[in-house]
Amino acid sequence: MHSTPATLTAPRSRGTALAATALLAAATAACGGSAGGGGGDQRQFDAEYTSDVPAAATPVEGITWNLPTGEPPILDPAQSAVESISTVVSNMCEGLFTFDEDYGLQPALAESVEHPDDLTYVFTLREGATFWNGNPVTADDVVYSVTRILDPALASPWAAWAVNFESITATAPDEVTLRLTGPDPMVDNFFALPAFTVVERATAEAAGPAFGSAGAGVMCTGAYEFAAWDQGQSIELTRNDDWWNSEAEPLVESVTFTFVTDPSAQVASLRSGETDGQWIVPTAGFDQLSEEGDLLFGESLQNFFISATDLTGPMGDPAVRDALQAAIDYEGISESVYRGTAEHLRAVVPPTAYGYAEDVFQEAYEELPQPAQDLDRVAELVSQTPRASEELVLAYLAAADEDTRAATAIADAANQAGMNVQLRPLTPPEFGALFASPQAREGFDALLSVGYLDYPEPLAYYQFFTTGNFYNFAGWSDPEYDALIGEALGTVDDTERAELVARAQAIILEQDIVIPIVSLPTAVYHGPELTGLAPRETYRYTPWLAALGGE
Amino acid sequence: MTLTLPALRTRRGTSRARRRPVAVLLSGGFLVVVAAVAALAPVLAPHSPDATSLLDSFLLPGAPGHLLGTDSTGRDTLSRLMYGARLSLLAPLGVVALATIAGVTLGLLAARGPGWLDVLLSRAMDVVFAFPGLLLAMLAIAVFGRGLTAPMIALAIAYTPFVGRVVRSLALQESARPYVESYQVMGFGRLAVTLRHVLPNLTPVIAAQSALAFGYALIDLATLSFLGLGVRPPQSDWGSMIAQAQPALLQGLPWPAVVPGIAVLLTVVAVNVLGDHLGNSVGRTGERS
Repeated sequence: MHSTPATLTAPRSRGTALAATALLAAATAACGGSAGGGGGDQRQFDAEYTSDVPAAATPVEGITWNLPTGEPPILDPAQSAVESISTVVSNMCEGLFTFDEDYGLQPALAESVEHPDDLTYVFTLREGATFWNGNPVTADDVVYSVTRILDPALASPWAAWAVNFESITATAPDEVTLRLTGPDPMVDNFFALPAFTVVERATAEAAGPAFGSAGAGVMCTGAYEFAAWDQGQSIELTRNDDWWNSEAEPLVESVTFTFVTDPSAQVASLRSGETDGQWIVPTAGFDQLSEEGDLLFGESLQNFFISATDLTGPMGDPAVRDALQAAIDYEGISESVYRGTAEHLRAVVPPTAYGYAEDVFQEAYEELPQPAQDLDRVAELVSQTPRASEELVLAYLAAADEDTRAATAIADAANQAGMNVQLRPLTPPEFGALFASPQAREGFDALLSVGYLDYPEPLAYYQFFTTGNFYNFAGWSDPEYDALIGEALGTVDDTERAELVARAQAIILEQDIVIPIVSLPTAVYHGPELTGLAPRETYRYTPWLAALGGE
Repeated sequence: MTLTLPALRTRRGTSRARRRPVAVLLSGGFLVVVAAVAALAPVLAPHSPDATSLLDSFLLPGAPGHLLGTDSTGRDTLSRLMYGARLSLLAPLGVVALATIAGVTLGLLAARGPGWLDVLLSRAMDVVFAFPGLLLAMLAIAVFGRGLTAPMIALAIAYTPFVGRVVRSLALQESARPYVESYQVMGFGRLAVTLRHVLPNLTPVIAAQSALAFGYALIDLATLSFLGLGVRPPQSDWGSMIAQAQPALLQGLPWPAVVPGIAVLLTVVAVNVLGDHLGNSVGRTGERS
C-alpha cells in the first residue's frame, strides 16, 4: 500500500551573504589580486609617516565621513572619552584652550590665562564668542560647564581631572577664576580637553539628561553646528559661519557621519567614494586604499594591550597574568596582524607620549625587558598554579579584524600550553559598554583593546590604575603604586615627576595588571579630491574638519 | 526499422527510469565522503584546527605542510575544513531531526485528531510558516546568547511547518483510503492505525522533505556563523571560516574564503540533488500505484 505524494515543499529560497562572499572570493581569485602572494612577510605594508600635507584650497559642499567604531551613544561633551563621540564632538564644542600640533595650548574661548600662584588660574574670556544660536558665551556658562562635568549624576569620565579642585567662580563678566587645593602639573592640559568644554547653560539645563541625545542635540560654539541625528543612520553637522576663529576658514560646508563598523564594508565604501574618509583604517585595506586616495600615517599615543578586568577569577593570580603575558605572540601581532606598522611595546605608555623629561622616561623604558612569546614559561607557570586551568574569559571587539586575529592567536598559544582562555567577541556597543559600566564587565576576566592617551603625559595614563579610579576596572590596589602616583600628581618639577612615574610604571608592569603589546600609528584615509588633514592624534579634541577641503 | 526504433526508445526510457542518475550517485558519494571526513577529522587532519602561527598566515594552497593554505592566524585551512564539517553537518542534522519529529507529530495530530485541533494546529503552523526562520534564530540568539543551541531550536521551530503541513495533507488523503476505515471497522484504535499503517506510508515523503530542509538548514546556520552569531571562536564551522576570511579578500587573498565557500556550495547542492531524487522517486512510485 503506497501513498500518493503531495507536492513537496521546501523552505523559501534565501539570498545569503555567504553566496555573495563566495562569489566575491571567486571573482577576486580570478582577477588575481595585486597582493596575491602568500606568507606573512609578504603582507608587510610600508607606512610612511606624514606630518605636513598641502593646505585645503577650494570649498567642498558636503562630505560623508565614517565612524568605524560605530554610532556614538550620545554627543554630550561630558562623555567625550570614546573615539566615536570625540571625533564628532571635537568639531562642535570647544574648551577654553585648544591643542596645537605639538599639544601646546592655544587660546580658544579664553584669550589668555594667568597663573598668579601655584593654586590659581585666572581666565580672560574671548570677546565676541557666541553659541550657534547667537547668544554670547558668558563667564556663567563657563562656570556651569566646568561644574556640570563634576556632577556625580552625570558620571563623566572627565570628572577625574579634579583631584585638586577647590572652586571655579565668575570673578568678572569676562573672567573666570579656578582655585586648586594643591599644585597640579597636569591641569593645564585639561583646559583643552572636554573637562573645560563650554556648553550653553540655558540649553543644557532645559535638556537635562537628554543633552547631547539625538532629540536634544547640543549647544556649543565650535566650527560645526549640530544639524540632525537620524539614529542608526547618520549624524549631520553644518558649518558655523559665525565661528569666532576667523583665521581658520573651514571649507567643508556640511558633513554626514556614518557608522559602518565592518572593515570590508568600510573599505568598499571608501573605495567607491560613497564615504569620503575615516580615521582608524582597517589594516587589511591598506593596499587598496593607498592606491585609491590618500592614506596617511602619523605618530600616535595609542597602545594595544590586555587589561585585567576582574581579579576575583584566575587573573587574580600573578602567575596566571604572567603566563598570559608570556603567551602573546608579539612578533606575529606586530609583523603580521599590523603588517609591520606597529612597534613592540615594553611599557603601557608608548615612548611617543613622553611629553617631557624624555631622557628619564627613555632610560626607564630601555631598562624594561623586551617582551617576547615564551611558551615554555607559560607551561612552567601553568604547572605551578592550579588557577591557570580555570576559565579565563578574554573580551575583544569582533568588528576589528586585528583584534580578532590577535585574540585568537593569544588564546590558542595560552591554551596549547595548558591555560583555559575562552574568547568573547563583542559588538561595538557591547565593547563600548565595558568602558562605561561595571555591570557590562561582569563575566569577563580581561579585555584586549586599543587605547590612547589624551595628551603626552604618562602620569595621566598610569593614574587610571590607582585605587578607586574610574578606569581601574580590575579594582587593583597597590599602596606603593598609589603613593608614587599621588606624589607625582603633586610634583610640578618635570624630572622629579618623571622619575616617580617611571618607578610606578615598573610596579604595574611587574604585576601585569595591564599587559602592553604594541604601539600603533594614527591613520586617516580620505579621497584624492580632499586635502589639508594631517594624521595627528589630536583629532579627537581639535576641530579637524576645519582643516579639510578641496585641493 | 519502423518496428525497432520504438522498441529501442522504450528500452532506453525504461533503463533511464531504473538507473540512478550520475548526479545522484556523485552527490551521494560526496556526502558519504564529507561525513566520513567529519567523523574521522581527528585522525585525518594534518594539524590541530586551532594551532595558530601568525607569521605563517595567508599561506597559499600547496604551501609545504598546508595543502589548502592557512587562514589569517596561520591555522591550517584543510584541518579547519575537516573539523568544521562536524558542526556544519551535525547542527543542520539536529535542526532537521527536531523539525521532523515535531512536524510529523503535529501533522498527524491535525489530520487524525478532532476537527478543532486541526483548525488550531493548522493556523498555528501558518503563523510560524509566515515568520522568517533566520529572523527567529537571530531573536533566539539575542535572548539566549550566542552559540548553536538557541538558533538550532529556533530554526527547528521555523522548519516544523514545512514538514507538518505536508504530513497533515498526506495523512488526510491517506485517511480517506478504504484500508484505514477497514482497520478501524476491525476494531483497531485510531492511534494504532495512525502509527502502524498511516505513518509508514508517509515515510518516503517525509524523508524527501527532510533532505531538502537539511540543505536550507545548513545554509541558515552557516549564515548565522558568517554573521558572527553562531559558533563561538575558536570553534569553526564553514560559515565562520568564510566570515573570518572576509578581511583577507581586501588583501587579494581569496582562498581562505573560497575553500569553505565551495564546501558549503557542494554540500548543499549534493543534498538538494538527493532530496529532489527522493521526491521524484516517491512521485513516480505514486503515479505507478
